[in-house]
Amino acid sequence: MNKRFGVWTKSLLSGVLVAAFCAAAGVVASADENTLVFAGWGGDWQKAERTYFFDSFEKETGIRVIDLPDLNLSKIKAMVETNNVEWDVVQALGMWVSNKDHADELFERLDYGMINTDGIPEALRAPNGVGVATFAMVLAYNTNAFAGKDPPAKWQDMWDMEKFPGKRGMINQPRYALEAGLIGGGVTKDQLYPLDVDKSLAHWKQIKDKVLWWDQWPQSITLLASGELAMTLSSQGRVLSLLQKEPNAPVAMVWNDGIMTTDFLAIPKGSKRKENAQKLISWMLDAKRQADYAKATGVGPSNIKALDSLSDDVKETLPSYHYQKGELVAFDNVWWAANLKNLTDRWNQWKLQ
Amino acid sequence: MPGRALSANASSFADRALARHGFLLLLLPGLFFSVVFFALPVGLLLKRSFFDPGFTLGFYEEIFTNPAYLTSFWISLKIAFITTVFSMLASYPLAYAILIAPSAVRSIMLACVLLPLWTNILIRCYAWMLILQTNGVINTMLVSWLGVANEPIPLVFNLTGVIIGMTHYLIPINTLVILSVMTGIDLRLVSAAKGLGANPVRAFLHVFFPLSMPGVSASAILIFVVGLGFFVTPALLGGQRETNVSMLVSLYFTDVLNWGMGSALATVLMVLTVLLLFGYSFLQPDKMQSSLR
Repeated sequence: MNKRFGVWTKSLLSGVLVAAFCAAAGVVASADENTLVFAGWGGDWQKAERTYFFDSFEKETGIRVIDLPDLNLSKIKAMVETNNVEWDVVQALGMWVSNKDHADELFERLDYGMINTDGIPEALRAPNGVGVATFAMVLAYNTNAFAGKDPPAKWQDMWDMEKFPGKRGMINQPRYALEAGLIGGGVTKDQLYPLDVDKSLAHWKQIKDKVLWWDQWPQSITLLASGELAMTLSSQGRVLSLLQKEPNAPVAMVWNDGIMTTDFLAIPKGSKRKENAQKLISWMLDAKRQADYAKATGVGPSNIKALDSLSDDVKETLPSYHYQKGELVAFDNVWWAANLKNLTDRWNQWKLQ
Repeated sequence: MPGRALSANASSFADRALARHGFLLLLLPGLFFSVVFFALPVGLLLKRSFFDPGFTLGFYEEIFTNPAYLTSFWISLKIAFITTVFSMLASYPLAYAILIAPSAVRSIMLACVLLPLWTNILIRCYAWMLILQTNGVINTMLVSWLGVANEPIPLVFNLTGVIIGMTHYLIPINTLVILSVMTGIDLRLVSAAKGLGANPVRAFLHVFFPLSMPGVSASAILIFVVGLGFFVTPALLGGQRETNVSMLVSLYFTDVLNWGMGSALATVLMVLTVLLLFGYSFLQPDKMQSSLR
């Protein structure tokens, strides 16, 4: 710098810059109190949550909701352990809040006095989370593979290679695979839990080599649509999404004996905005809003009153409705939370045989 | 004041010290980076593998007594080794071709090599799935158009698929590393050999090829180690039997939240890799030294 900018001017300029910086940081910091961070699974379903829940919440309360994808239990654990919790509300898998020994380590206890649970069934009100959305894991099949013939209609059909030829697909994890194995072996829905793991694995062994064990859910629907698989486990939501985008896709699904899972809203332990977080949770349990969301996405509401305001053909697309009719079996979060570790090891060993 | 000392007396104590030991200062950033971003996290990982929360050797015991884990280590090594071999077979000729190509063509070739590097690995895996599957491009060609095969060949969701996917991913990196070494070889030596009467093939085999070996070694080690860490590609393109250690580490860290087991597996893999590399460098001490001169 030349002599025109003397020492004093330079100091003044730097001082102004620093002050501006602090002011900006201060603005951000104070905005903190009126902000909430929501972590979910991303994709179209989270975009719809923005439309049907977060925007109206922001309008009503003035609290800004920042929603992030890439929800991950490992990240939650890291955040809680380092006492650096960035997420205030998470859309947790039911299993995560159902482990009686460990749920309190990772998630706050909910103050149900502050949350409006009118219409939420007792079973979906856990100490560390409340059910918000239902999904169904179902048998899906490629319609071209069974054109002119009877399509598969139940899990047992996966084992019938003569009547229903073609490559089968299944998730390369014990969750849902064990249930499918048991129902496919003749166990009725009410006798399903606690799972008889040996029986299920023995049943799968019969067709193990004829099954394509996929690792990621998008694979299930991609491979089914491309014809690589004749039938597979997939999620009702993905089948619906595909058919909405491409009505001519050769994919169909069976509601019968599907497995219904529920996502729970929870607050990671140590969140500094617990009060506002509970307000958001309460907001997302409302019957009318859940009904609108369900209509747009095919994701089932947790609030049974939400089903009342929906027409029959919308209800047809929702897991909650089919569960009420008795077609689906509810995934047992508590049993799985207690057994996940052992079963993961067991599954790894079984895989390599 | 240092400034004055420099202009007044060119060889003050500070200057001499700097001249002799200045390189240590240059090492500092690298050392800092290594310690803070590598040694420290690895140390923390190691610590976690021994505590559950009390001190325990249980995780390591489990790893060495359970055949499933030992099998997955074998699978890791097998996949990484085969991938390295195929990658090398593809990358060496490619690097040589780029080396001797005229400069206009060379730029295009380099662009073609680099482009796949900038594609997301998930997209690449799904693309391979669609190409290699039973009614994918290749099988349709082989069965329907050319009539070479009676039935579709299983090319994906098995070891073949994994090797194809991983090799495809690693060829750009491999090519660039080998190429960078090759450009350092004095091609006049090859001309000299030809001048002394060797035919082009002999000149290549006896002059160029041996000179490129250190680069090939270094590149092979790099590709092997990187290959050990892959967990997305084997998960998507492999079958149940292609479960390698990295996949298990990922599973234990994110799904089951058993960080102790995940850390123990990662540690064993790391120790195994280090031992293998030591063994490898022991087998060829001469070459390592000659490449340093």
